[in-house]
Amino acid sequence: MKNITLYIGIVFFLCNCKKEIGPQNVQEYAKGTGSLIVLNEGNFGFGNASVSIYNPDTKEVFNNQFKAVNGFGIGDVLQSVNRYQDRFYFVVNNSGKVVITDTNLVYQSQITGFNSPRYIEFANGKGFVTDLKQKAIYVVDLVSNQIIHQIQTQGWTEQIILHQNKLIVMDRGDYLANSSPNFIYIINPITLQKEDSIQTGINPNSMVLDKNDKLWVLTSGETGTESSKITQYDINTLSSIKTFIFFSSSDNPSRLVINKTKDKLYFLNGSVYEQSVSNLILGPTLIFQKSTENFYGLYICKYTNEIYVTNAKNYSQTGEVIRMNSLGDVIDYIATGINPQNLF
Amino acid sequence: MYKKWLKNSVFILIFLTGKISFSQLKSDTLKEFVKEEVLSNLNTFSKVSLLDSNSQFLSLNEVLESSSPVYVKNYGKGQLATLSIRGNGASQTQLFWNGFKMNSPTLGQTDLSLIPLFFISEVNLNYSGASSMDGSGGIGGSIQLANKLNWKKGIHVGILQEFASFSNFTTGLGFSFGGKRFYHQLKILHQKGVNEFDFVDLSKLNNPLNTQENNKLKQFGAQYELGIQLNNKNLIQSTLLLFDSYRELPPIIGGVSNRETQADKNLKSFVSWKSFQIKFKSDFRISFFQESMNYTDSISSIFSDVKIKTYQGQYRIKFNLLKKIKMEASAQSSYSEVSSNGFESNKKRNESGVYMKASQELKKLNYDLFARQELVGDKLSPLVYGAGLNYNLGNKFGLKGNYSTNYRVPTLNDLYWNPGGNDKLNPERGWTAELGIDYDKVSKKKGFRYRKGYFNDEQKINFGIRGFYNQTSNWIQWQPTDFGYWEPVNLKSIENKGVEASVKYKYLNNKKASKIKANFFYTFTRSTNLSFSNGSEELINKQTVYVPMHKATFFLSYSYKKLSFSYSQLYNSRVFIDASNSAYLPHYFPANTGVDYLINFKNIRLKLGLKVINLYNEQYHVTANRPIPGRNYSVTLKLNF
Repeated sequence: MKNITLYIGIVFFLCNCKKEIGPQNVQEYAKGTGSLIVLNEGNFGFGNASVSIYNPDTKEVFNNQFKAVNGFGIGDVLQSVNRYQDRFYFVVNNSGKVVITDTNLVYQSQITGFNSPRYIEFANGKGFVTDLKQKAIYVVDLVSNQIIHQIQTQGWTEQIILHQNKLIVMDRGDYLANSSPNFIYIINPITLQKEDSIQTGINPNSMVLDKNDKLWVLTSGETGTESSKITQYDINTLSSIKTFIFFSSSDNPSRLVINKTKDKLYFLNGSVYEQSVSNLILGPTLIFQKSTENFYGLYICKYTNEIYVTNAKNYSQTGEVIRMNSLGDVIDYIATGINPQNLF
Repeated sequence: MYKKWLKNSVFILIFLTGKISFSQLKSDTLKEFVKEEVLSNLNTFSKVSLLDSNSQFLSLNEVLESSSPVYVKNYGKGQLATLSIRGNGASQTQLFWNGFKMNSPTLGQTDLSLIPLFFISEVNLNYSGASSMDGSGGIGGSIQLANKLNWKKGIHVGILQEFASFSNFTTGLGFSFGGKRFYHQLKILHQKGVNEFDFVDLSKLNNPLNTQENNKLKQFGAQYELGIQLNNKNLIQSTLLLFDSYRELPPIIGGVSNRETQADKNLKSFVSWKSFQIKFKSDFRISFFQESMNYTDSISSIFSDVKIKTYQGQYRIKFNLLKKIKMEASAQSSYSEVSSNGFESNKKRNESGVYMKASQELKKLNYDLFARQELVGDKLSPLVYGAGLNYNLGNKFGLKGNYSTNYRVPTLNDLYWNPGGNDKLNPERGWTAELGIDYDKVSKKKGFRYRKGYFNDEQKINFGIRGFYNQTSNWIQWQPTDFGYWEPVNLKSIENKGVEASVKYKYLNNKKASKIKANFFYTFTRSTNLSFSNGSEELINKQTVYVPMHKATFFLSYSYKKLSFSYSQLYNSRVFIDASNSAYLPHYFPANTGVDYLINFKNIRLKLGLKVINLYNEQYHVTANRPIPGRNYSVTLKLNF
């Protein structure tokens, strides 16, 4: 009888003392402050995306900030974030939603109904959301937070930039087949019409605008058909100006970004490389040589020009961000969540 | 030369045994004849036998979870379920159906949720080396599923019906006809469920309740078993099983449902010819499997289609060497053909192997020695071997110790997946050792007469504790490459060590017609990374994901006359869900309980049952963001005549 009482006691103890449900973090972070947001993509289908805050002055990092502030996780596969007025818009890809917070990450609202959203840009009081699978750009009313229109595209729409009141949108073709030809659209955010397009190289992966308002597009190419290349376009005449071709089959360049003064391009090709916008003949120079790292994302701070390169390691463990100056000298190693993908 | 010999070993063995004399046999009772297998389990190695008559409505994962020491990972009700034995993964668990490898040659795993126990009469869990009697690959261990002829004379009919929460309906029909020479059994199972249960939605502000969507399932199976007793030394047994499953795959919490579905179609068949002579016993078996798996996500335009055909043959013999040494040997061969839209072309795999075991029972000691050699394609696999002993310490205590090796070849996906498949992969290799003490006590009260019968009081107590250690090297894991796709590599070595304890108690009081049964299992597993080939040093000594350090199960049943009551309790401690051990799922402690009542009317037996699942209405996840239903119920009805 004694044993039974003891047993029942244990049962109740184990049942009652527990309040945790679902995934928990071993180390709980307090709410922190800092000027940089690290987007930790997490693993597809695991729902473990997270937001970290980094303070460049104190070198402090605060992980799992969205959950710490709001009490729930941000979702599955955190793709990107953008700011509109005093709101952050987090695009959560496999949750098919855009989560809206204030600048302290306090949840305000969300926009749902997307298929597989990637990036958000704002123009004419509306949000424009690109999508992996929908073959369309969603137009969102920023007051009601409802999708109000879809602009049809050929395939997977990726990066989106607002420039002189026009949207520049990259279309990567069919997302499974990486089909070509591929285009960059010029979209009028008022009429919601595609006004023009540029045919790019095969499989574009990133683009930036330089100080002369020239558009730089990095394309991955296709094995056996076309090499990877960086092409500069005139955004007004829509014609290509110059091209740098990566001839080696081991080249797999991605993540084209630009510095504060918009005269130096940076990208990943295993390691971190730099390319001046004015002298393409010399070709890219190595900034930071990788050893065992799995570099995944690249960000240049628009105030300090410092380079932040993310290391996703083997994608199944917590990652890190390496902070360096523009010469590639390491300033800090930042321990982040799983698959740090970009910063903001 | 050696390889060729291995390939032809089946014929050589048949040829050899053909020479042994064909003398007449004393009459065997049919029952023994049907039950006895030519290859027997290694009894100096740990083994757990599962399954009782109340398991007929369950699938394999549910029984393993509630009444064995191993950890079962599942993706929710009716969804993918896999096994981790002593810290090893799903791929290191080999399943055998009537002695034939049934893990998918492409995935290297088996989905336990697609194995209804309704069609199976015996389930054994073997650890590591002890799985080698059937085949290689079970570095962690193996599950043996067997169909045994339940040879009852005359016509017998069984009807099962279950009504359960979330619109789950299960119907089972069994029909058997047994004569002197022939036995037929036909079983049909139909199952469907909607499974729209409520769960705590962790992806929303204030965690409101939400309803699971896209979670329907439908299963249909039919099995025909045939037994022919040719004479009193030759028996033919055959099983044909068809099983179709269709299920929707629900999204994770906070995910968007793409209305994904998965359809699995299976045909499994085997024929065995047992021949029990005076000087040797033999069993010649052949099997044919046909499987297809079809995954559809029409929103993402992803359609995956895999078709597999496998032909297997085995010849098993048992004889005595020098009168006292029991010898068992087998030769086997298998051939698989696979078409998958992940491969550039269809793939084939040829495997052959020979196995030999010697065992002897001495006064205080028995021992087993075994070795297995296999040939995969034209590559000779590492030799697998092991040795174990039982030593009687006296006072009902026994000591058990063993050592064995094992290996696992890369799957066809590992080798040929396009892109990423790596045909330079080496097999995973492992070794394991085990040491334990058992205590067995059976006490019987002297028989006494009571009313019309002759009765006994019987009490059985068994207590066991074992320590285990195993290492696996060349562990295969998919890794990202610089080219945007993933590639499998021989990534790491891992180490598992731990302790298992079990207590089993049984009390039978015939006079009062009461029965008490209680089982308790506990496993402590420390599963860690030893070394890496890619410089991930920071992951050394981290606990493997989804391996709980503590797992315990407790089962109690009490029956009195026609009424029986059962309670089962599971405890799994927290599991880490990322390799760096930064996040975990909390422990869970769900319990089930049930009551059965038996009504006898002439030859008709009707059993009514009521079951409460997840008694304490616990909200938990076994796999992160895959919710498990709260408290739910089932009513069962079993009719036999």
